[in-house]
Amino acid sequence: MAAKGNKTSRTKSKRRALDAFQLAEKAENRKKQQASDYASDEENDNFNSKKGILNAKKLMGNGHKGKEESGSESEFEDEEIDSDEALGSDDDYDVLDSRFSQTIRDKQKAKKRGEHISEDESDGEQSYDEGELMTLAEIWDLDDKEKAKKSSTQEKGFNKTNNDLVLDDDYGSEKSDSDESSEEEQDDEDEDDDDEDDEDDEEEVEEDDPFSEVSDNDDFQLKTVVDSLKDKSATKREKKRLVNLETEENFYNLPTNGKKLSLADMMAAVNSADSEKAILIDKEDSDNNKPLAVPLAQRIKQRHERKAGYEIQKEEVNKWQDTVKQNRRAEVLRFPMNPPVEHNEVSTFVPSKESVSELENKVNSVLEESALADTQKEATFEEIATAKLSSEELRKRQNELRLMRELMFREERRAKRIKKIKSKSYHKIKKKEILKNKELVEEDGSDDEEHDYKRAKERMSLKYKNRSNWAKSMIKSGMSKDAENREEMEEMLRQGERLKAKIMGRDENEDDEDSYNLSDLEKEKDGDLAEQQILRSKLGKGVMAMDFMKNAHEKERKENQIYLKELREFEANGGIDLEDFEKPANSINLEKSEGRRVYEPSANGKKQAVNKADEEFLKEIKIDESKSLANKLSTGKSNRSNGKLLSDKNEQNINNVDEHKEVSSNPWLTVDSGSKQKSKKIAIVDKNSNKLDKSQNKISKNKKRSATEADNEDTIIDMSETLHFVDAFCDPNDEKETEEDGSKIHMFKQKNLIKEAFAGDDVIKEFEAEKNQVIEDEGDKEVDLTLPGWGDWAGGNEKKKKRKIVKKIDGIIQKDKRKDKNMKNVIINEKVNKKNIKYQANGVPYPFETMEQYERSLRMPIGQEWTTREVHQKLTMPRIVAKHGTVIDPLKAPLT
Amino acid sequence: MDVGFSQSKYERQAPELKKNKKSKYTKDKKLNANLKKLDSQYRDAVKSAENTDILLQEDAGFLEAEGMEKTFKFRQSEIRDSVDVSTANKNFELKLDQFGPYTLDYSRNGRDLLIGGKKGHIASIDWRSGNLDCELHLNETVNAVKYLHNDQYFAVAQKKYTFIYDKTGVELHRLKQHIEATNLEFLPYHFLLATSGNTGFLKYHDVSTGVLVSELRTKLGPTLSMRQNPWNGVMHLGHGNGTVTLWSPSMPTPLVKIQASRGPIRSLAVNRDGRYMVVAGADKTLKIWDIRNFKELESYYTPTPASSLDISDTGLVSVGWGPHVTIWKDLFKNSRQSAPYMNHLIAGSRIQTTRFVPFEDFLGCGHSNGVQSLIIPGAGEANFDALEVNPFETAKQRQQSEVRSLLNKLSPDMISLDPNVIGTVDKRKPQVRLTAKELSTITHNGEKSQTEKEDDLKLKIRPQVKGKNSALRRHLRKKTQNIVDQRKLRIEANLRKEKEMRKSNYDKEHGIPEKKDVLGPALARFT
Repeated sequence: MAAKGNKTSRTKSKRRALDAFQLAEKAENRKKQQASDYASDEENDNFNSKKGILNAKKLMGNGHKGKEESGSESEFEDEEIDSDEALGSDDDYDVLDSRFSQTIRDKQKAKKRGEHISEDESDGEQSYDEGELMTLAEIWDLDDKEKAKKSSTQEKGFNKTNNDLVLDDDYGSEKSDSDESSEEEQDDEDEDDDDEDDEDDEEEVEEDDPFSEVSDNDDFQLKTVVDSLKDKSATKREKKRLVNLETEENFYNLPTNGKKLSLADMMAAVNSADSEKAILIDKEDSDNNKPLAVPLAQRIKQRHERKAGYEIQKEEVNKWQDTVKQNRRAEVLRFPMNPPVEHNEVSTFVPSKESVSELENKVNSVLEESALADTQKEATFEEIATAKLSSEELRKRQNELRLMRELMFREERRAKRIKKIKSKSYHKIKKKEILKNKELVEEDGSDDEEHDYKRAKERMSLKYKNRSNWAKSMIKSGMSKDAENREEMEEMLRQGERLKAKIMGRDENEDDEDSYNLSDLEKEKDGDLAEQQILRSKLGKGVMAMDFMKNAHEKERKENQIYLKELREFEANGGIDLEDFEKPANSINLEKSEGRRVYEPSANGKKQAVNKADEEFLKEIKIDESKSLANKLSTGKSNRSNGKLLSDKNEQNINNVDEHKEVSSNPWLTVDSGSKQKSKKIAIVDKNSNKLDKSQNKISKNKKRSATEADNEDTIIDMSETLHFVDAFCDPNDEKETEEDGSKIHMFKQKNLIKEAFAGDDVIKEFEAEKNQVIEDEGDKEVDLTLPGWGDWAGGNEKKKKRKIVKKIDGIIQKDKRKDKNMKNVIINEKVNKKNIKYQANGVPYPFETMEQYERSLRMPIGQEWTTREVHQKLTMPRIVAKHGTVIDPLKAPLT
Repeated sequence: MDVGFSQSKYERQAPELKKNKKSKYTKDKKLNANLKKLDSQYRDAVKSAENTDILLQEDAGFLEAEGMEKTFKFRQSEIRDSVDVSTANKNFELKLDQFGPYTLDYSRNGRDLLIGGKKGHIASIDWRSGNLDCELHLNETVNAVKYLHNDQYFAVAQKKYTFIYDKTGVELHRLKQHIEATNLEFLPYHFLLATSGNTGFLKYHDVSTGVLVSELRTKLGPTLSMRQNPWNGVMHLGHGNGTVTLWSPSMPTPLVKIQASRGPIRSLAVNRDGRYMVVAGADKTLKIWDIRNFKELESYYTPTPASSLDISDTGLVSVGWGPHVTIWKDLFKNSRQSAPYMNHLIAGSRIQTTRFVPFEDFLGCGHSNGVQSLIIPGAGEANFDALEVNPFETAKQRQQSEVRSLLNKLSPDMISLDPNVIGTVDKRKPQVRLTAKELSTITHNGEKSQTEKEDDLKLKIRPQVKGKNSALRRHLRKKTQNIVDQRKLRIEANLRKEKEMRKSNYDKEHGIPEKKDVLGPALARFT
């Protein structure tokens, strides 16, 4: 076939056609060889071939690229090649391939589709340059060496043919020296075409070798100069050889890195340490030979996964729940939520050293001139005295302070503890102690006023009487038998005694020493005598030894003795002379022996008071006399029980007094006053008495009169209800008398006049009538809708109709529901003001459930006229307040 | 109210809510929380309001008598001697015996005094400084005078019409509708001027818009006296048959009718918080009514029929009868008063009007021979709210408060016996209540609905216009738009020509110069 081709004329078009065919064939081969990796390329190729028209520019571009790359990739150590480079390499391969393919094709054609092959195909081979063909031999030599180096290379290169076609353009330039340069080129190529062999499939290459050499040689001879030149340029371009070391593993090609994998190697791997890491090697195979459980259905598995994921997410989300709830409930949200706290730094208080403005400078200079400037600097924190202390001093000071604080704290705690103690006795003791202490202190500088005050206070708090409410209740409820209460009561009585003694004029000191009595006094006196004598003897002849002094002493002593005697007698009688008190004070004059007579009923009252006081005093003494507490209590009780009796007695007493008065010798001393007149003053008004009395008298008279008048008449206008207009500008003294007489007549006249004046118009009646009318109009009405004559028998003998059609028409309001139902002289309009209705809600607005709730919410006005500024601002605060220009961070989950 | 929460004057009425066992108002959690929040807010508000009490340091002091002295015996001269100079200066007397008797009115902040002599003498005076703002001689009967919202304008009820003047005495308006008014009142929050008089009509005039809001026929003859209830803006009218009627501009019938006395009502007054009304009748009675329960509390008797009544902010009641002015204290307390607080005689004159000065311890007395200002200790409110009415306001403040009050102006419809009813739920039965639709029609009564407008248009008579439908147009309009035939072309061309001609005619008529061919005749044909 090749021979045939040689003989036929070679036109470019034919060659192209051949090329196309070759390419198609090659594609077939590739398909077989390299799965479907290069489908795109294939398509490209097919496209080109189909078209039949070639885009020269595009091809040139490819060629140029090839050139550029050839420079850069002179050495083929690179294992990574980009697509362009790959293309370049493919070119090379293609060239080779096309050359080798001749023989292959021959075979194949013979086998498969001998009849299809056109003669042109063989012509196409002429385009291949000799250089390449020449190189092959050497390439084969190289093959073995390089095989060891390079594991595998990829082949792409359906574009190679295209390249070749492109190169055809350059024929003219290159073919001329193709002969001479072919050898050299071959050399060059030898160096460069390292990968050519790699590109070839090994078997193929080996198969093709012998045939290709022969055929190529024939071809070579037939080549024109132009062809050679062209090819030369093509080869020049094909200097770059791309080695794609990263060939992918495929069915035909297993990367071995030059080594061969033996079975031994594989077996070794199973038992080595690596096997333990390997997942796929089942180590427990020997132990439990159970089959694996059937995996869950995908659907169920996913459901479980979702469920688990949901749980996790839920937990995550729940972390926010509190925060979100809080924020939702917050009245106001301020952003940023937790602004960093800004503290004033110390430096803020330090005045800047240099004066800032001109004015300041000026002021400073003026101050300095006038010697007003404070040379001492203002105290800053650093410059305060304490800050200057040495550390030891400071510590000392701090310790002192700490001590003080500690002491204070302890004291406080103690006071609290003591305050908590509930024991009454403890407190009593405590109080006494305190009082004693106080007294000790006061003894030095106590003044009378204070003393008086104290006494008054004691009297006020009637603690010494067993008539206090507390004591009474105690006795009544029989609590007095309780030891503690009894003690307290005794204490009370004791205090009472003490106070009474005080009242009697004894000193407190004496009070304390109860045993101190007359005999002691005598003893003292005797003692005194002896002492005095001794003293006197000691004195010798002094003033005391003088006669007049002695006399004076003697006199004094005698007086004392008399006094003592009296006291003795008093003691013998058994205390106070009760007779004085038992005698009722029959007249105030006894008390008030001097002064004027009083014609007043109050004198009587006073007398009573005096008598009462006496009686009380007697009672108390009696109680005192009864030594034991029981006696005291019993007497107290009796007193109480006989309270009423006593009061009766008092009254009797008064009566007695009265009788007594009558009996008494001096009739002028008594005032004959009936029990009725007790409270009434005897007011005698004469010309001399003052104005007030007069006027009062008059008023009372008027009152009486008016009262009687009011009772008498059933008046339209109640004249008693008169405002008494007092004329401030008229002297009341002059006029009142005269007016008083005439007033009655005057009033009467006026009343009549008024009656006359409004006689005609009885407004009240009219009003009543109007009200009734309104009630009727606004109330419900009944309308008889029966038609007269309808359903009646004609003629005489009229029967009363049984069925009456009565319709009730609702009025505005029923009679008994009116607001003015019970109001006299008032008609309240019950009509609805329709213009007002628009300001009312016709239903309870949504969030509220009842009218009350809604109206309660209206209670508080928000406006600043009705509330304080603070409240107003609070109520009108927007829900979210964000500070301008600040970054608002997203919500942070609390630490959980 | 919650337990443990003391009553104070800052409390506000609200319906009580029942709490269940768990101290909850409702089952609804959110609502419950809201209600509780409201409660706490309210409590805070009251508390803070109470805390502001310390700012109210002034206290109204009254005359107090020692021993035998009686407060009503103190004469003005004595009081004047014992008070400070500035107060004494305010105790003045204007002798104007030519144009009397005088009626008077004070501006809302008590700064200005407006006096009106029956015979036509009007004067507006800054009475504390004694500056005369304006003085007018109208040569016409003056029945009543009244300041409007501030001292800048005042209304005068003259012989026939009512007029409005400004501060300088310029007549601004003649209110034609208000004929023969004898009583004037001004509702400051609604900007309503109310007049009543011999015609028996009560008329409300909005002074901010100039619209007559309502005319109400009393049917009770000439109105003798009129005062407003400052609490709810209801107008109280006293009539000749002894009834007092209460009116709101939105109701054609009186809200309440009270038979207060047998004789004609000479004068009446309502106190500041709208609880009490004092009515003086010609039958010499002086009655005190509780106008929230409509019950007569007390009835007094005056020696001669009282001619003028007024109630001060602190509850003092001034009664003018004959030549006397009597001031009563604690009339609204439960106990019946037996003696007046103060007394004054203007000998030889008849009291026409008495008015307490707001925020001052003074009483203005207009009588037949002039005007007198009396010192009444304790009459004025000591602690004023400057945001509400400021006696010391500057011109700027006055202007601002005028604008503010105009913005806050209340609608006349809001006047009702109980002002608190606004915003609440209509308490009538649901089936009786107006529906939302009806309500909207009421609220937008001025605006008509779309259909109504259309109806109106249909009813309107319009001039006849030549029909736009012609055979030509119909042909053009036909659906065969894509068909181009000779006729269509012709028609279109003709129509275009017609349009152009019309336009050129129009231009000619209106003197617009004709546009010449920009391109010239040679090129124009290509267009």
